[in-house]
Amino acid sequence: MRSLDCSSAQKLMSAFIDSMVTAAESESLEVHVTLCQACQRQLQSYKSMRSLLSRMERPPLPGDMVLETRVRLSQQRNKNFRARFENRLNYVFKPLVIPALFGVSLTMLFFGILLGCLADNTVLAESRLKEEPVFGLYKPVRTTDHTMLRFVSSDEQNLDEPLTIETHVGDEGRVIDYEVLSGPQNPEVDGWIREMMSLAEFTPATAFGRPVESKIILSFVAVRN
Amino acid sequence: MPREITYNWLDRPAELTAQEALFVSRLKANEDAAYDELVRMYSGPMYHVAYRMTGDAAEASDAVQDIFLKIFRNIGGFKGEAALKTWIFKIAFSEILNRLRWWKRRHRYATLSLDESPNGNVPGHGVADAGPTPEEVLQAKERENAIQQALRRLSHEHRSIIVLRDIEGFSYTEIADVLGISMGTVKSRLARARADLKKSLMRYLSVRYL
Repeated sequence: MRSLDCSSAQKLMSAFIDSMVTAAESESLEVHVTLCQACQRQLQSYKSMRSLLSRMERPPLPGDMVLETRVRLSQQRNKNFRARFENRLNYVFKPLVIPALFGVSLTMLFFGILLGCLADNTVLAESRLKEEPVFGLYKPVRTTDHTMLRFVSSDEQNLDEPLTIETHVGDEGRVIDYEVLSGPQNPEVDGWIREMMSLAEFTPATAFGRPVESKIILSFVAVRN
Repeated sequence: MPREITYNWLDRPAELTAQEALFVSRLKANEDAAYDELVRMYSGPMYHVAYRMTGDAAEASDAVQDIFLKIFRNIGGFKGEAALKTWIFKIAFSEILNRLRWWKRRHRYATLSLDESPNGNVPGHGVADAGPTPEEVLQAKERENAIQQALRRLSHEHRSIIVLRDIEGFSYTEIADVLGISMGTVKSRLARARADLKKSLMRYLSVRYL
């Protein structure tokens, strides 16, 4: 067994009172302190100090500390729970937001266009109904002014009764054929009708903007002054 | 009644027990009852440590509340490499030492009263304790103040190790875990801290010859 000097003994004392020395170190120290009163006092003071410290009374807890701690902890936990819940929502829904937004936008765009078209058609139909309530996109054949003038100014015929002629007008506005529906039947009137029909010009009927063949009924009445 | 520390002589390795693991999982699951239990179990020892380290009741109380908040924020990262107790006190010491450093920079010590014990009571002699004579009460108060002043004169490192070992009765392994130092350093630092403290408390130490 190695004998200790005072310096080495004192270095061991702290660990010795905690039983954190080897058996050999412990024995050496015990032997040394039996021989050295100064070291014996040192060891005693270490033990006494540890005893003094270990016997220190625990200070009483401030009355509201535990309650305050619980309240703060609870607040923090609720805050965190809410934040975690929001994060979870974001995590789940964020990837869906862009596609969903894109889908909604496309749908709205599609319906916008569709509604726009429907609205345009409605307006168009309304405007056409105002102009041509019956025919829509069909315009009937009309007489031209100079033709009517020619008919009116012709006083060679003395019509005793009203004359009605169904006239077949071509897409160029010329008379293709005609038929006298009622009126005087004599060679003079027939000659006058043939001449007038060969010279007559009409504004042809149109369907969807294109001139088409059509029929027009012409009536003549003699006006006596 | 004087409190006797039960020392962990075997100095068992600090590791997570099955019971602690279950408790930790309850904390991680944010269970109300688990947090209540945590506060009930640790608020006392934590306050005691904080009070011995800071010497101020209000400061210690604030520190304890912040420590629990830190525990809550960090429990998710607790992997169980150490016992729950050492992990908790590691956080506690980190917070307390930060506070001490903060106050040291602002010369707080000049304003702290060493004559006042927490809540104005004399430590060790509550109202209900009718045993001690007025002279004994006075002596106890004087001794308490002397110890607190002696602790205050120690460096933060030495004070930490004295509080953990001699006041709270932590094992060397637990101290090493809490302070993040090796066992050898625990031994040498504790020896130096005790030697320093002994000089200040010599008049209160009774020495008997063997």
